[in-house]
Amino acid sequence: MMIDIPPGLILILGALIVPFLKGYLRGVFLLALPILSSFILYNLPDGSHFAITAFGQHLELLRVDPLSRIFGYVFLIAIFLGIIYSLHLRTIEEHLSGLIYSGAAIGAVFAGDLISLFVYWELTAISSVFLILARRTPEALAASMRYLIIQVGSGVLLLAGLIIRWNETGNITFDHIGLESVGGVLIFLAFGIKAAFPLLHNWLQDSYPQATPTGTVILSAFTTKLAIYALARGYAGTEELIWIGTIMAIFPIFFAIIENDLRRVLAYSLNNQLGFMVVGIGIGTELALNGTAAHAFSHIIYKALLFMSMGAILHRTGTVLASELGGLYKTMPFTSIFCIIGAASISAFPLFCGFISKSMILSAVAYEGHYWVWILLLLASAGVIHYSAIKVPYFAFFANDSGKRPKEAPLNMLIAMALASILCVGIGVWPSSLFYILPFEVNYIPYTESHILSQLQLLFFSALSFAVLIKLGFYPVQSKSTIIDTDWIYRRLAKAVVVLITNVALTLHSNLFEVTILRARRLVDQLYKHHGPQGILARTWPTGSMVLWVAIFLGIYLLLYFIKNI
Amino acid sequence: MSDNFTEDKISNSTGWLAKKINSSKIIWLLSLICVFLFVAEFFVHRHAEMGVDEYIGFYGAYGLIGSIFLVFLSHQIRKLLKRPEDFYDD
Amino acid sequence: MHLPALQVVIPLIAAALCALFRHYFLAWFITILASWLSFAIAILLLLQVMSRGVISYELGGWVAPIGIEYRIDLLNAFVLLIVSGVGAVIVPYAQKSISQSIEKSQQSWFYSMYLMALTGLLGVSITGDAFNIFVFLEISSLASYVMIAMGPDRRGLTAAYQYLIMGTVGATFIVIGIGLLWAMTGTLNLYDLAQKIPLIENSRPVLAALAFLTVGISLKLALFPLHLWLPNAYAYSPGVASAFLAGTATKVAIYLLLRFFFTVFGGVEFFQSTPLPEILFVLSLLAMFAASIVAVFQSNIKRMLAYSSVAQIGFITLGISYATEIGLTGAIAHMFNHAIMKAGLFLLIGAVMFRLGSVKIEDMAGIGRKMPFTMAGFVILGLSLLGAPGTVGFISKWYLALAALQEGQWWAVALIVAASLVTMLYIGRVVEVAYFREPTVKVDQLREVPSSMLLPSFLLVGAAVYFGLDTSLSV
Repeated sequence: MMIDIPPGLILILGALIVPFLKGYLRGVFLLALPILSSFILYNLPDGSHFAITAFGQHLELLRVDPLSRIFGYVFLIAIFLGIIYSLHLRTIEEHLSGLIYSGAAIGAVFAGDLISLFVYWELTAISSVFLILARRTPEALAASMRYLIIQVGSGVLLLAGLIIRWNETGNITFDHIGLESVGGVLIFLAFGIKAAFPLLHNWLQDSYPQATPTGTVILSAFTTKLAIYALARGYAGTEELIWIGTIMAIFPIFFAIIENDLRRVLAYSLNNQLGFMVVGIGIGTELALNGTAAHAFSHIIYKALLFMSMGAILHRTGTVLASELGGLYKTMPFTSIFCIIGAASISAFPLFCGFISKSMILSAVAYEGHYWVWILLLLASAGVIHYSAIKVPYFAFFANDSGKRPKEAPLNMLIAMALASILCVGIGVWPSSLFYILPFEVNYIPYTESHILSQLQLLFFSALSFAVLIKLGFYPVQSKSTIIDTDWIYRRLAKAVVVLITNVALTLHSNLFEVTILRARRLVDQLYKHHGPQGILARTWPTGSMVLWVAIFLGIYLLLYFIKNI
Repeated sequence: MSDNFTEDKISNSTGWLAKKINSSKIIWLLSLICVFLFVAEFFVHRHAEMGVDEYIGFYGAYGLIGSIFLVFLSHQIRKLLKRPEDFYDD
Repeated sequence: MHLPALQVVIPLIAAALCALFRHYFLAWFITILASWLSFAIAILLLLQVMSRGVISYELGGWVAPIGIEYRIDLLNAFVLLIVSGVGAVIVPYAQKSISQSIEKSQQSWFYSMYLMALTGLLGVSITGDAFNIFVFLEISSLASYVMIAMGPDRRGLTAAYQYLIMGTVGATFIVIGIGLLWAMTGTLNLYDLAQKIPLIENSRPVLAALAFLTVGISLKLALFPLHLWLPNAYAYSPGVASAFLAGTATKVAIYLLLRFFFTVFGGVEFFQSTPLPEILFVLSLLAMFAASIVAVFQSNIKRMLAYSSVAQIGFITLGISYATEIGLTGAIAHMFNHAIMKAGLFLLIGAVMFRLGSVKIEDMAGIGRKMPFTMAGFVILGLSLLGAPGTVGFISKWYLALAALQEGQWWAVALIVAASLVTMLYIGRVVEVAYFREPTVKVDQLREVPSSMLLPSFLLVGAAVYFGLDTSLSV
């Protein structure tokens, strides 16, 4: 019998041992951790296993049910692939941060109450930022700080929400929450930030493309899918989510079509795929939730695969700008094939994993009769072909020859990509293997003649349009540029507003700054005068004056007690 | 980074795809597949999920028109949002 | 079972033995035996109280209220545990530390005094007799004065002198208060007093007694602004003594405050009918901020920690001022936690002193690299002090915040958080110097301290983390 150790904790504790290991031993140890953890998870029966009492509350640190189990499994697969992919690294910071990050995400998935969820929630934010910092460029540093602020902000919202909810209901178990109360809305926003809701999304496109090649692979798996899990747990069937999800599925397409940085293209498509899942949660039927869980599962794998192929290119050539690449299939044939498999999966090509899961969500939408949502999601599916499935492999590996002749990706990266590809195809061919671990019983048949035909029509006609548009030169030319998104609000507008206000203030009162600084300095001086080593509050007082204080206080107390009595 | 590049043994000709004839071939091939898929619809039993998809060729037409529409809109959006590469650098 | 008597008698006899044998090692050995024995007894007592409820022990078989009664309920069993626990942990540490700072011939005196102080503090906590409280308080105070005066710094003498005066004033006030109560009721037994006082609680002598007791105890627990004796006393005494006093003496004074207000003077209703909650509330907030800010500007790290103690006491009394269940839980939890944290911090700084010979913050540049364990412990306890989740400090601040919320005082929560941020400033200052500055030549030659000093410190560090995660004991 296994002991009930939370699977996430194994990764976190294991990470603490990693610095003491070297060479092969470290590699073996790194790979053993997720395997051990999966084994434990496999042997854990459903139910609550690791409950403690703290803050006068019953904390469930390990609550296993079908919904959390499937996310647990796919997170473990993701970190396993991520570790293989990063085995070539000699530095350990990415391994460490990846392990703790994934451990925290897994811990959060199995958290049965909001307080432990909050702790893990913040831990994912703090541990993951090192994956961006490890790139060691000034842009990465700046992006990581923006990322950290937004992520921690999400945690603070969650904390505020949970305290208010606790006050309202006296209950902190993490089950259905709903939008009926203030606390519920705050928690919803906290989840929404991490799930990259429209207008709250930009941290994702801002930070992921700045991370290291391996960092992006790991990042892409956890944060947003943790949020999807949390939404599915707390807000299943919330109508608002249907429209939020639909908008999420559509609007990133435009950005993805015109964006030049291929990892940022993938980040936008990540956002669009999340939209499908959010719609599924909003629908909230068993089929829809199954579809969401299945889509999250396959999405983690194929998105990691796509980021891995782009990471390999970044690793070899130092760039992933579409305008700088092209013709790489000649020297990186394997990477090209794996990338195409990932692309086929994301575009939901039959026999690939995306087909199964996306079909479930679309069917769930259709069964519930959400006509316009269905039409728009179909448009989004067609769009995926353009910007993600064809654009990424096309501009990287084919298109106009850039003259770059990089080596094939390192062996460990190829192995990781191969494993991910096998999973993509395996799930696509044998969907029952995935259905087996879905939260609800599945009565869904993905492969019907009619369905395959419709999907193929959609895919090939879109592909045709891509080819024609490229041929006619109407497809947006990929060139070095910056596409502004909502980050403009805090990176430019906010700055401009601050500058404007400052200028106005300066013209009104030309020496406002000097005065402010003078004031601040005076305040510190004042503080120092009273609180500094020689200050009135810190000085060693003569004994006499101490006694005087005592006498004064005695007087005050006597007076007050007597007054009370009158 | 130079050690990351292998000797350029392959002739430095432009890629196979970049050649005009080949790219035309691909378009023809795709068109052929599309026609085939369109014709196949007469032989496959279709059950519509939403009503609108019972029209023959709905998915194909929607895919074609939808994606052209998306690209067209992207062009407009790009005009609005495109900035120089060093936009955020100060 | 005579456990309650043994709790006090063992350290008392051991103190006499130390003074008798006057051999430094033997004295240390006796001390370690006695302190661990009393720790064991305290644990047993706590277990007994938990399982069987209040223990009443009549000393010498004289029946209360005429005889002296030792009476142990959950609260003072808990205080006994804190005092004897801190006492037990620091003795193994003391041997190395003391052998450096005090001459061999004097060492047995130090141990003797230490045991006397322990006796006194345990006695105050265990007894149910008001006059007995005064006696034990004086025993512990006198012993503390001597310990402080034995410090390596000559300023320790003046510090001890000031502490002597202030302590005596405080004790005198307490005895005046007790005397007045005795005059009015004719009894000294706390529980007997509790029966009789409500009948006459609004008479002037009783109110005067209350005022004297309030001021006397405030002085003992260093409630702002009656804290003035404390910084020097802690700063210039030997490291072990600082740790012991910081961990226990003020906590026992807080216990007295709780005991007098909530047991003797008829509990929460009476407490709230006096202006004391408001005064306590304001003074607590002042302490939290003023003392913390003073701590930020200190250059001597022991003084810094001493001021931080004053601030932390502010947190405790803040919880008391709410007089709600959550508030008191927070206060008692913080009392426990602060004992662990501050004792641990002083031990670690004692370790720095042991190697570096200085406790100036500037002299500690880069010390984190040379004494990694010591400074790591310091960082963990520092985090706990500012209330980082996963450490004990978080638990008690959480409860204090809840207590404030219960009263609807959102702004008080903000103030608690703000005061914790100031804590971060002074801890951060030390961390910055210790880790991010290049080591000076002197620091470069340092080694880590011996394990006999590290282990006790890390016991406390471990406790700070353990009780931060498993809160069943302190809550």
